[in-house]
Amino acid sequence: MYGRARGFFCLVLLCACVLGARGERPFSNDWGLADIDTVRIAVPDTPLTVQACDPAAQDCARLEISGRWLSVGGTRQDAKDNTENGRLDFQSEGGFALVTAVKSLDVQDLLDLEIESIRLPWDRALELATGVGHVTVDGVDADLSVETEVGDVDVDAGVGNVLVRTDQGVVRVQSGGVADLRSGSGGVELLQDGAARDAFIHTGYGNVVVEIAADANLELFIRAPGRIDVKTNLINTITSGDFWRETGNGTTRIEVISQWGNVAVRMYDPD
Amino acid sequence: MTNGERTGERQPVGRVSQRLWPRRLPGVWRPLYEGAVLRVTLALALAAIPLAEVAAAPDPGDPPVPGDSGDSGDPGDPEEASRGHIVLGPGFSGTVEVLDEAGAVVVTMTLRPERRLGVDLPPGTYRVRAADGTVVDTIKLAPGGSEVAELPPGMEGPPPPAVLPSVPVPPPPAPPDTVDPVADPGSRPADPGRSWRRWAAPLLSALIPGVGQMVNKEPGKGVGVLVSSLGLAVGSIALLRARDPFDGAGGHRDDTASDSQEIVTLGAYAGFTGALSLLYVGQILDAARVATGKGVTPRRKYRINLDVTRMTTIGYRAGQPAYALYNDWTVSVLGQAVRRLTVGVADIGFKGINARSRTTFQAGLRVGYRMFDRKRLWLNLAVGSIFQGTTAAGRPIQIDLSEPPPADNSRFGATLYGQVDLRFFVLNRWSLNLIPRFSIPMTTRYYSFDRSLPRFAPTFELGTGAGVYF
Repeated sequence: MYGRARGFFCLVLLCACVLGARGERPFSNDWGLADIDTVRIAVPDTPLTVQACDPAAQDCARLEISGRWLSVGGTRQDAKDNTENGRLDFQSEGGFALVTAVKSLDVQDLLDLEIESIRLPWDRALELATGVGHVTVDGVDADLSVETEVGDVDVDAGVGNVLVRTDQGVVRVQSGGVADLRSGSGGVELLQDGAARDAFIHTGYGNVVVEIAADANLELFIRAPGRIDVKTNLINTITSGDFWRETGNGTTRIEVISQWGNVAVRMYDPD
Repeated sequence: MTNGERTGERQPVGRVSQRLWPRRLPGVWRPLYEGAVLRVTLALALAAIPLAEVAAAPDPGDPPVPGDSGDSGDPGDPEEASRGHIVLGPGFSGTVEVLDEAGAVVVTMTLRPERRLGVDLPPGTYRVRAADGTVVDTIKLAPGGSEVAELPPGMEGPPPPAVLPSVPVPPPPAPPDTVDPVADPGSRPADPGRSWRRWAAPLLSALIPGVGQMVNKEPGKGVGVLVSSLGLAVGSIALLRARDPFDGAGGHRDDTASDSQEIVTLGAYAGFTGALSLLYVGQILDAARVATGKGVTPRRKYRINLDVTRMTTIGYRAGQPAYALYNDWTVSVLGQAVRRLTVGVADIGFKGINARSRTTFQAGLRVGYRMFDRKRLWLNLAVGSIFQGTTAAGRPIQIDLSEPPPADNSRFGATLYGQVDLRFFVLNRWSLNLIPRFSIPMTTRYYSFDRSLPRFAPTFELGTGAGVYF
């Protein structure tokens, strides 16, 4: 009798499950960007991969976003129908455009957006915001802003300013503009491949590597409990804690703060 | 004094049923009892309800209650073997008579709140008559069966003046075989010098699991509870931290955990947290029970039953991670309309805390029937429906604020379900509940933490919780 009772309870414990089906619908949207100089894409959890193109090219005058809607449903038909209950919404006003994901209340947690590629002219400023998702940006030459809760950020940009915020993830940026990079937990790597620009880097837990474009007029401030290793043309030191050094008139400020990690500063080497 | 009347003194012919309250619970129930259970929020919610009958002080004048009284019957006698057992009390006072089918008084008993009386009788139908002459319960006694007399609430409390009706009572056809305080093997003789344990033991167990058992001079059980609680807590935290925060960050093809890994991890987490909450609650109640030295007789004649329940299931979700844990914390208030039948408002809950996208209020109706109640275990079957009203939190970003907000911002939904309700009584008025449920949402069903399940998705849930009976 007790054996049967045990079997019954095992069955009970195994029966905490849900039956249903999954659905999927690919999509591709594009919108014109005439008179638009800044585009903000604010979407829920999804990876974002941006490839900028030459605005002079004939096929590069619009914002193109493609991906897929993933859904669940109690039946196959419901799962399929649920994929139709989500869309990307494009609004614009005064040179600013906003792209958001719109899902009906019924399917808010039953429908997932997954953006596979974003394409737009490189001269448009871009703001990206998502929840959980890796972000990759390549070729944007205007100002760039990336905000993600969890995910790595990899940016290969032009001369525009770059701002990155991630709560958890590794940040890697190659840019010729001013960089403001923050990661709650994760390493940060900045490569300054243009002229000397200001850079502000904060990370809670992770190592920081900075390759600066020039050190002739530099104000360098580093705070890290780990190893601070600076080897540039004018500065050569290994220390820990706080480090401050100014060269020339100090017009370019590099500020690095790591709550828990090491910091290395080098001269940028294109090779 | 009528023939066979007992007034609280232990009779030399006493015969104690050993089957009603076994010293040790058998097999599968033992973990629920000894291991038993709780979560802080649940404890705080339930702690406001007085442990009235637990705190009832035993009468120091009581004779010691034997745990292993001798059996005066002849086990080889078929008639003896076929006799049933009727139990009255504890918790009641006054004088009652047990009448057979012919209306003859077979035994008269004086009840005292702190005592439980039992009588062995041949199979048949018996009526229990109060001192004012009203029949308060009718009992069908099966061969070898055991029944607890359901006495009215008016007989609870201190004993009224025992005045029997002056009508002549015909002599019983045969003297009662046994009228004797029923020993509860799980109970202990009261220790008048340690009355502080009655409140200190459960309080200490609420603060640190197992300490109440240690205070009750059960160090082995106390250490077991403490170690089990720590193990379950550490295991739950470890399982929570084992989740990869980057799972799905690269899209559905970037699945860092297989489906089976996700399901096993979620299942283990649900099991650990459910067991921890049950263990926490149960060990507090167990400490109270042992400290008072009382046995457990589930209170069948209750009016209101208050339950706190966590329903849990593991279900799919769109995107990555592919599976999620769906939790639903609710309160139910059920009334016993007639014997065994319960009706009430159930599944009352609010889902707005930690929810970023919506707010949901829910309540439902439930009808249940107690199919089985033996010893400390009840089994109810119930059906019901959950109604949910949901409103989207905030409004989507709009560049043009002059445009009206979207009308699609509220929903009303319903979910139908049937459930098996297993209740294990730790005290007379307190039970730990294990509730397998099958439900089908007629519309999208919303859970805590912004989770939801689609309509028409057959859902198996497992509920854990505690109940109290007034």
